[in-house]
Amino acid sequence: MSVSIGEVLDSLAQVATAASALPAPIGLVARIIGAALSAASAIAKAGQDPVVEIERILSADPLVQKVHAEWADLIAKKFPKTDPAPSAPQTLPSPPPARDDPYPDD
Amino acid sequence: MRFVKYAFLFFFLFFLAGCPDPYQIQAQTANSISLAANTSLPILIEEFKQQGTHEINLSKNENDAVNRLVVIEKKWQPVWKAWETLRVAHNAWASIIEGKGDTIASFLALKDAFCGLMNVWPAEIRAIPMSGIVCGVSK
Repeated sequence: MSVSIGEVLDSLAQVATAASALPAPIGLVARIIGAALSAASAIAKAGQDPVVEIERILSADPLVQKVHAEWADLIAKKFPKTDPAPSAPQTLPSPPPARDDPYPDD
Repeated sequence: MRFVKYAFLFFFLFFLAGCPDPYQIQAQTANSISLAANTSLPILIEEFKQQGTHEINLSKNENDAVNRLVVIEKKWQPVWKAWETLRVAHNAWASIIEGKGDTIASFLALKDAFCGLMNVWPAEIRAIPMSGIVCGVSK
């Protein structure tokens, strides 16, 4: 049975990813190790087969926008907006009461 | 003697056929760089998110939270700007490789973009070396 270096690195990266759930600083160290192993695995895989289409670097913008939305939700949950004190309802002035027709048909 | 000559010619042609295409080498390098970059992006995003979340947890009111997040945004803005520069440079380089054009100028632009990102890379995250690109003196 032959095992490629990519598979070994992938397995190690999975272990590191699982360990990253542990409390800091073990989690942080494991996360960094996991990132390095994943990158090494990706490079090892990329070197094996001829590249037909080059993968492009992803844009960070959508992910940054998602984080902004999550922060906004977190702030809204932590500091919920209180409803303003109830005030007199503002209603439009009602039309004048209908009067009898001043020019009744004869 | 003739056999040896033909054998030599055969092995020479076989060797040439086995030689990797220079564009293929660059394509594999470009692919390795994007794979490594795309692997590191979620780590960057997670660190960015955690730093902001930490500041929100420390804040005393909404204004305080917003002010704290502005500081985080300012800290990370150069990273996202450098990332976009790298993305555009890599895209240009990859397109030229795929079109089998002159790749030297685009590769140098990519190297500058990569080193620019390394200069602003957050200290909290260990930089991931990408395919042997060596930057000069940083900062």
